[in-house]
Amino acid sequence: MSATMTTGPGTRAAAAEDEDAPVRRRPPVSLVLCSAWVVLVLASTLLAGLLPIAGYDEPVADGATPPFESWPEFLGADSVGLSVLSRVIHGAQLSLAVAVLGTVIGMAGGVALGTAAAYFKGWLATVVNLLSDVVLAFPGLVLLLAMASVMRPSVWSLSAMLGLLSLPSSLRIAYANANVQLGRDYVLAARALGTPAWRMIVREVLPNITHSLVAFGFVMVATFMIALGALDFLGIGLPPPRPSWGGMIASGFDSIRTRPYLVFVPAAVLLLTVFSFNTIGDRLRERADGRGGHL
Amino acid sequence: MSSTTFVAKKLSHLLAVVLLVSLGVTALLSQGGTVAAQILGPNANAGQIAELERQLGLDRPFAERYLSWLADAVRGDLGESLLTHVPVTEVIANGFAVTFELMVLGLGIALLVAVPLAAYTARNVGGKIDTIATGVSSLFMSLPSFVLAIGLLYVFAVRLGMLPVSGWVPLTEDPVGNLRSAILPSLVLALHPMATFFRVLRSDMITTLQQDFVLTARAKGLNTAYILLRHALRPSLTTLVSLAGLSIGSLMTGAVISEVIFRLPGMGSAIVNAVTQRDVPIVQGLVLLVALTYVVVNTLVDILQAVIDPRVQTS
Repeated sequence: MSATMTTGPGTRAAAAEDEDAPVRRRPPVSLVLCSAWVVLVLASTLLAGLLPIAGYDEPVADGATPPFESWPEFLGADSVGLSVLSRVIHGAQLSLAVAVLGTVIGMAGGVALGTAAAYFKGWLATVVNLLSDVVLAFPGLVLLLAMASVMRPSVWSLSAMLGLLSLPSSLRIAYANANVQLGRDYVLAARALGTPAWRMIVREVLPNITHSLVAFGFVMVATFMIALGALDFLGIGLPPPRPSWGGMIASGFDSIRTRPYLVFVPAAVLLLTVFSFNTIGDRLRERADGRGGHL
Repeated sequence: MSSTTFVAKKLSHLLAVVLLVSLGVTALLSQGGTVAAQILGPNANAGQIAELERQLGLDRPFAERYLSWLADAVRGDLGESLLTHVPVTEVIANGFAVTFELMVLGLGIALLVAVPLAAYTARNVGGKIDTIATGVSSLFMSLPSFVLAIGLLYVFAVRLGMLPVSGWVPLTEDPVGNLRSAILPSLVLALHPMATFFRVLRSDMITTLQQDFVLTARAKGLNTAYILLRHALRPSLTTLVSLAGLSIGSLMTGAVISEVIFRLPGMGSAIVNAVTQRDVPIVQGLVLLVALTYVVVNTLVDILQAVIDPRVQTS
């Protein structure tokens, strides 16, 4: 409201335009920087094969080289002479694939169950909520460890595990948001028109809860990157030879006294990526909340 | 709802969750083949593996194995390690003191930093300290605990040489040495809870400070610190108390990571070792204990909520 009051000279046309147009604020610098970093990581990961850098298993030096001594491998080399830059870039591939795939699996299951439970209520809601209590009763990492003790980790099994672990959280969010929407008048109107259940969920409720879910999706990817990093660090993530940030940190940890950059380069990249996904998710959520408040 | 039915309802919910959790863990870990194959190594043939599975009782039907494990577990017998034949309860008992101390210290540090800081920043929203604290807390939320652990270890133990790099001194032997070996690991545990506690309490305090009774207290001429601590803190605590219960999960995760990095003999490093060696009974026992602790603590928290805010019970 205050935005309409402060915008320029009050010609009638401008005022009318402001009434219709959503309140637009300039995106904050942090959001721009974070989005830029995410785009950079995604692009360099997807185009890793086209970049003028060595492969992740091709030595570029005889042994460890500190950063900023050669080009284009400006991040130095590890104890067997592999380029840190190219390992960092290739290391993102599988982690990102698993994090995104896990998020998609968890969200798809959680949204389907959560909206259905909110719509049908009754025993379905009771069972779904009890089961999500059970899964939420575990610290995620401990459950991942338990699963890793009986399964061979692969992109699919890890994604499925993460998806299953995160399902209750996205279920809760979908359930709560769908409940709010189901109390609105447009749902009553649609019900009066005889809209069938699936159509009500997919065509009426779902579009109205998407923005909250997308915001949550970004936070989920960030959480998964941390979880995968921890698994790789503990040596029970995806097996070599493909590099991973967690694995690079673990192998650099042995020589942290003499070559700290082998730990801190992948650690900084991981931190920046997680922070960026979290920030984007937070901003989107603020927007989603704000929108709910203004309507 | 009377307080007896409230507690009874919570307890029956607890029992249902614990039973389902133990069933889930047993089902998950019942792919017996990998265990026997792991013990015998890559050169074993199918006959030897089947023989070992029979000895370990892994060839029985799932329901039978679960029920006999449950019957033993209720009597306090969680089986023994497949590799070393040490009873699982002994493995737990050995690691318990370390993990418990880390979790208590971690939670303590998190609350000690978050509560005063949240009270102060809620009073001074938009100030310098508020801006810094809010920014740092969102950075903390994105900092993986293993990265923090390595960073702390590098700065304080390797560079400055102020604290030991690894190892554990039991509290009973040398309290000062114990604190020196526990401080960095418990900081690692404290990180995420600290950031979430701060954020949640700050926003709840801001809401509370807008209430009329705070204005009344101010009009009576009470000083700011007194109003913040005696009038505003308690009504703002509800969310924080539930979060403190839920933070057992992230404290546990932090314990696993920091016990591995600082090489401490706790339950976290026990579970990681058991996982890499596929020592299923140990994993099973530890996971059950973790889930049990988590559910019990959160049930207690629900009951505590009703004590802090009597309105919770009736709703």
